Order: sequence, then C-alpha cells, then structure tokens
Amino acid sequence: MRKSLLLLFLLASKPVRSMPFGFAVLISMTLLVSCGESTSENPCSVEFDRISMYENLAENLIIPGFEDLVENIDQLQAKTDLFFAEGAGEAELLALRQAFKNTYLSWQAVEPYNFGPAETVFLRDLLNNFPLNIQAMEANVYSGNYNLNTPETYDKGLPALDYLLFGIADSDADIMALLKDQSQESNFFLYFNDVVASMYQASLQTLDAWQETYQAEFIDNDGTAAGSSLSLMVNALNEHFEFIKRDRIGIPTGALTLQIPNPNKVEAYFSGLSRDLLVASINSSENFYTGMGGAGLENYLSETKARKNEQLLSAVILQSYEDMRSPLANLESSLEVEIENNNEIVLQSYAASATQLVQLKTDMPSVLCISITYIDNPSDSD
Amino acid sequence: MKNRSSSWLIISFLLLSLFTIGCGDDEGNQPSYSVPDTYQFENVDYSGQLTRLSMLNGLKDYMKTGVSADVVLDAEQLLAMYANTADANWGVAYDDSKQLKNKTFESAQSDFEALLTQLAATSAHGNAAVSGAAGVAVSLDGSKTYLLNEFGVEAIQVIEKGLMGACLYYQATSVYFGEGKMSGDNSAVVEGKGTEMEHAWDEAFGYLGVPQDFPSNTDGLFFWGNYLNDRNELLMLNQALMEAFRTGRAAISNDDIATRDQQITTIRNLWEKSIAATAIHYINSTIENFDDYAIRCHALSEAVAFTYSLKFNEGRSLSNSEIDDLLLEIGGSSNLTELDLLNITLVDLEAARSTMAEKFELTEQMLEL
Repeated sequence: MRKSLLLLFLLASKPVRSMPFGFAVLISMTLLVSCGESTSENPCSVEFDRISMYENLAENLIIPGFEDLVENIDQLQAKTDLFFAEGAGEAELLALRQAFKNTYLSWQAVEPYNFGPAETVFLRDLLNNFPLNIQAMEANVYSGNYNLNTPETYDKGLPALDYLLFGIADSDADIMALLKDQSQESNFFLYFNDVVASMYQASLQTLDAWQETYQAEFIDNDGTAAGSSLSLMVNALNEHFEFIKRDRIGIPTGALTLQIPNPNKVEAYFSGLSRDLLVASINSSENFYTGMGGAGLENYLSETKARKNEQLLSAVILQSYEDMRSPLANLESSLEVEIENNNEIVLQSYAASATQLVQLKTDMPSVLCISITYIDNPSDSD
Repeated sequence: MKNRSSSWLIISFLLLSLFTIGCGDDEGNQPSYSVPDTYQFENVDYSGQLTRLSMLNGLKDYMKTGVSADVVLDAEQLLAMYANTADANWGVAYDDSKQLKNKTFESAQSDFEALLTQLAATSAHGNAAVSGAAGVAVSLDGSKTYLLNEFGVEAIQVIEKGLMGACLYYQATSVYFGEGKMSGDNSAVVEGKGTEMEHAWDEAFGYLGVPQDFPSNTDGLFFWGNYLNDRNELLMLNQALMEAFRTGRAAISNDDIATRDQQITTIRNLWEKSIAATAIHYINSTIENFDDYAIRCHALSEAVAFTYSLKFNEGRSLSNSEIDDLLLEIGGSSNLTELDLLNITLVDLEAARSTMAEKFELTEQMLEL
C-alpha cells in the first residue's frame, strides 16, 4: 500500500512527459512485481470436472465400501450366533475371530469418509474409539446398564470385541468359558451381541442414507465454500489423516508423549492386528486422495500445477504416503512388539506422516481454496 | 541541469529502496515492535490456568491436614479433588470443565491416583514408632513433623511437586509451546482471548504462577513462581525468564515467529535449569540433615519430585533414561509409586548432584544452592 501511494505522489508531482523512458520502465516494473507472490495462475479457477470426482468417489469407493462393511458385520453376527450356540468350540472361535478381522479391515476402507451419513450417526466413534477403557467396558457388562450410542465413550465397538475375543483370559479355553458363561443376569454374551448389533445398525443406516439420498446431494454440492463436497472431502481426508498420525502412530511410539512410548495404546492391542490395520488405514487415506481408478483430489491438484520442492505437489503427496508405508513393510510383528524392539523404525513412519500433514493440511487446501474447518481435539482447549 | 539530474537520482533511489524494503516478510528486518516491561497485552486470559493453580493449592492444603496424627485423609476426596468431581468438597466453586487430572501427562495420571490413595492409607497411622515405619515422623529438635510411608517417602511432597512437573510444567513447556498449539491460527482475534496462538502463549505463562510485573513484584507467587524465585539470588534468572515470556508474546502479536521460537527455547532452558537447581538444593538439604531421619526424608522426597519433573519439558536436556537413572539413584526407583528412600547413601546423593550440576552448568553454585 505504502509503495503505490508514494509512487502516485511522485507521478503526480512531476509532469509525466518529462520522464525519461528508462525511468518509466522502472516504475512499471515496481508496479508489476509484487512482494513474495509467485507468478503462477490463480489455481482456484483451474479447469477441472469436479463432478466426475464426486461421482467416482461415491459410486466406486464410498458406497461399495459401506456395502462391504455391512456385509462383513452381517457375517460377524452369523459367526457370533454359531459361536454362542450349544456345542460350539475352538473351530467356531477361530471363525468368529476371522470374521472380526475381516470386519476391522473393511472398516479401515471406509473410515476416512466421516462426513454426511457417517458423521450423523457418529460411525467412527461407535465402531472404533481406541484404546479401549477396559474398566468402563467391564462396568457396563456387570451392571447391564449401558448406551452403546454415546460417541464419547471408549467401551464399545471393534476395540471391545478385540478385547473380548483375545484379551479377557490367557487361553482360548478360558476365553470361551468366560464369553459363554450366562449364569449372571448381565454377561459378556449379551454385551458381545449388543455391540455387534449396534455396529450393524449404524453401518446399515449409513449405507442406506448414501444410497437413498446422500449420493445425489453429494454429487450436486459443488463449490469451495464450507459444507461443499470439495470442502467436506478435504476436511475429512485431513481429519482422518491426523487420526492415523496421532492415534495409530504418534501416541503409541511416544512421538507425541515426550518420547515415552505407549505400546499398549495401539489399535487392536489384544488381537495383534495393529500393523495390518495401520497399513490398511494409510492405504485407504491414499485411495481417498487418488480416487483409485477414477478422478480424485490427486488429479485435481495435479491440474493446478502447484509445485513443492521442485516437483508437482500432487506427486509429493503420493511419495509421502509411500514413505509412511515402506518402513512398516520391514516389520514382521504387530506394532506393540515393534515399538518395544524397533521403535526407531516405526518413528520413521511417524516422521513421514508429519511431513505429509503439512502437505495435506496447509499446502493442498491453500492451492484448492478450501478452508480447514474441523477443530482437532476440541476438548483440549483452555 | 545539475539540479534536475540529481533529483532524478534521489527519486530513483527512493523507488529502488521502496522496492527492496517494501516487502513484508523480509528476513533481514529488525523487529520494529516494542516489548512491554510487564506482561501487559491486549486480550490476555489465563483464568483456567489460575483455576488449576488454585486447585493444586486446595489439594495441598487438604493433604497437609493429614500430618496431624489424629486426621485420616479420605481417599475418595483426594481423588475427587484431583479430577474435580462431586466429592471434592472444595471450599469454593470451580468451573466443572477445569481439573488437574486431565491436564496431567497422560500416562502419569494413574500414578498420581495411586499416590493419593497410598497417602490416605498412610495418614491412618499415628505417630511413627520408629524410623522406617509409616506415620508422622518428627525432627530431632521436635519442631518439624512429616507424614512418611514405610519407605521414608513423604507422599505429600511427591504429589505436589510431581504435579507441578507432570501437570503445570508439562502443559506450559510441552503442550502450549508444542507444535500443535504453536501452529494455531494467528489472525482471527477472539475478544478477551486474542488469537489462538496468543492465547496458547498466555496459558503457558499462566502456569508459571507469577504476577504480570514479576520480578519487580514478587507477591502472589504460586508453585513454580515460588521455587524459581528462591533460586534467583544465586542464578539471577527471574529477569531473563520473564523477559522471554514478554518478548515471545509481543513477537506473536507481530507475527515474528522466528523470535517467538527463540523465546520458547530460552524459556524451556531457563525453567529447566531452575528445576535442576531446586533439585540440587534439596539434595544439599538431604546431605546436611542426613542424620535427622524426618528432615532427610522430607528433603529427599522433594529432591526426587523435582528431578522427576525434569521429564516433562519437550526440549529437555536430559534424556528419559538419564532422568530415570537419577531417580533410581536418589529415589530407589524410576517409578514414582515405588520409591524407596531408606537405602539412599551420601555417595548416591553426591553422584546425582554432580551429574545434574555438570549437565546444567551449575558446578560453581552447586554447594550453595
């Protein structure tokens, strides 16, 4: 502002036609070149078919993903029924555990889509608040008094099943005995069934809403304002990514807790699925970003030609996903074991996630003219 | 002719200088803002932090009633005070949303609850029959009494000073000065609180427990304010620490992130050094009073708790294992709930003292602290 005012004053105080040519060039140069701004095109006006992106996401990733989830929970219920039936034994326990594992993996694929119907029913809070608060869960079981639809509690969902199937006793025989004991009025059998049923209900509700009304809404909701589909996508991608960074890696490795590891806070601590689930969650975040076989944020970002470190930002983001994944490929055991023995390797994944967070939460939204609207850890204020 | 060409020269020079200096975030610039002499800024609110200091004070007062041989502390009340739940029986009304527990470093929360429960059990004992028995121990001259457990641990000190570290110091130096809070928004001003970043800084300052015109005013010091001020005579760090807080806040308000970050480093270092000096002070007291069981255990409990506090600074100079080694050396365990002070020797104390003095450049003042 100062600059242009002074220039105006100078121009006004001297007859223009008496100025030497070179001087006029100098003036025009100072007017044209602005401080600190790049000379690339305004990215928010880039040519890109955003509708195709929403369509691809809804039709090829989100709805099929929720269909898978519902199907898997249905199978989980079936295996639950078989396990709790008379005469069921080790074979039924193993089948039930496999159904649990399949469900947990299929959940990873849809966990990023925490907007619209999933957000309305608090799907992630109902299915995957971890680490489990064992005392809170046991208090539920013994009292028989609980509400599995409260988002804030850590006593339900997949983490509860993880504990019930793998953690309530040391041997499979003891686990089976405890789970099947219906001598008390309130017992594990009832709780297990209630948890599975509530998961099924919430997932089905989400799928139905997508298929019946939300898909059309989502595809139609173009623009860059808060609440537009693009804004929902960028915010959900980021919020989910921060969840991975903080809850799956940062806290367990100690990166976020003064370098004091907390291996017992990994996802699926009792079943030993933590590493597989972490890799699956990185993959699903990446799939969200790329749109897999179809149009996605990656294509959109690529069209803007935005660059970082002398490469396309869109490509740098892909590389960071790989940087997060590759250290984990060298690990054989579940995360809580690797954190005890090879934490420096798991921390490499964390370091890559920290780099990626800047790219996803600061660089990309800026280029796409999207505001980050969610508040991370809202309870942490004041 | 001469006049005309020289005025063109002047104008060209002016234009050129405008072009080079006009750019906003030029790294070569000196900060052009001023730093006030006291912590006087617009939109400062650290009332939540003051609330927690008040709660810690209330908890401390209640714990100390347990030193009387005929008072038995109620474990439920201690735990309720820690978490600010229904049974806290505070004399005053505190905002429901504020508590000490959920601002304590997370994996330490259960340790403090265990200590509070143990303290209640210990308070059920009357006068301690002998050294190494749980109960009220009395100094040789009969003037001082301390509630100790069977391992010589004065849990009241461990809890109060341990929470100073794991809650107050942790929040200030690791949470509010951490990446998360320090990358908050710094443009939207909330009435009464400032921007997110300004507010986070003020909250860190709130946990220091000093008045806004510290150190010229040393009235109304709480917890860290007190202990840091006690070291000031020898270390003379009050002024520098306070200046760093004021400078950092001014820097934030003027978007000078580089200066802000320098102040974070300064504050973390000075605060930490003062804590180490305090630990050494209490080690000295332990050594001086080694033959007086009651005072020795009291001083050593404090030394251990201040050493433990060193863990909670994101920019700490000692590693976690180095701090654990020190705790093992002077506290018998690196686990706060398993301390055993009965077998700590003068050799242990002197070794730990040397380690800390060396690491924190306190060798000169070591014996006088």
